[in-house]
Amino acid sequence: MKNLRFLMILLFATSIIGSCGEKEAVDPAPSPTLYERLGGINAISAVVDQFLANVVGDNVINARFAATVADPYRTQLLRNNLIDQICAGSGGPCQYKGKNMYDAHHNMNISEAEFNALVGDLVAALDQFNVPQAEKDELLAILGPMKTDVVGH
Amino acid sequence: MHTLRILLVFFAFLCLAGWLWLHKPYSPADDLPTVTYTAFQVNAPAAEAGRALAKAARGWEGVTASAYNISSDLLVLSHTEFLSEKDLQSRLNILTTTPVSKKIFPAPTGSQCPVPAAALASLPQWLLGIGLVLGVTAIALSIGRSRRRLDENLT
Repeated sequence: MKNLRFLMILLFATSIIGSCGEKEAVDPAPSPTLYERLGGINAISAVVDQFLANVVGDNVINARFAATVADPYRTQLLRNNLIDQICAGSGGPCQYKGKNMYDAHHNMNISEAEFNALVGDLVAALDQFNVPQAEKDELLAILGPMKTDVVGH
Repeated sequence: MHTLRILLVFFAFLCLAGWLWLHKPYSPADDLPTVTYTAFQVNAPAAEAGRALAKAARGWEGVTASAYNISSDLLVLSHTEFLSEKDLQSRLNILTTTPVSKKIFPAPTGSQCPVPAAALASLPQWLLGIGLVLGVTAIALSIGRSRRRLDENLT
């Protein structure tokens, strides 16, 4: 009887230890977030700097940014808001502190052509840094739905 | 004196509540160096010349991004305080035979807020500072009053 109880305890302990090991083996390592795959805050900052440089040079939309570029504080605010937006949207440790997209673009009457020009400037910036197509698509999928809040208000 | 202390505490709380309401949470982007965007009309004879200028500028210390737009003939540089606009312009003028001038965008039309954006943004810090000063003054006055009472009781 004693031996039987010992065997049962041994079997129970073995099954628990075995199942623990099995669970660890089955659990896959968490896949890196888009933020990590993009290269973190410094890479996002470099892309945003390039993006804004493209925008300021783009005569389809640069008049919209004239007042911002003329004021260093407003330039910094726009740049940091863009970095925070991409960082937070891609799963990074940032918090977007700006206005929501509808309020930020209300009464600006932004056309679809202007929005498309802006997206083109962003894509050009991503291409310049050789961001892979998958990451580019994922990022544009995060930012794309904002179009309804930006255009035509 | 009692009314003054109550008023100090009231305004200290008001200022600190205002700071709590207005202050923005920390973000890693806050630690990044400040950059300025400067646009230059480069009068490039060909698109390749403009692109070559942008490529050369990208290698300068203090330049974080550069872009040349063919249709606007604008070279835009994003740069830190390490390089001033004059430094950039003189460096660009060395690299090209065509005149390089800073692009001045037309002033925006429509109503603008008369208070500078930077002044509005510093409001939370002012509220925190004033709130702390008022709070400390109220505490100092209370301590002074308690000591006076203690001295009176002892004598």
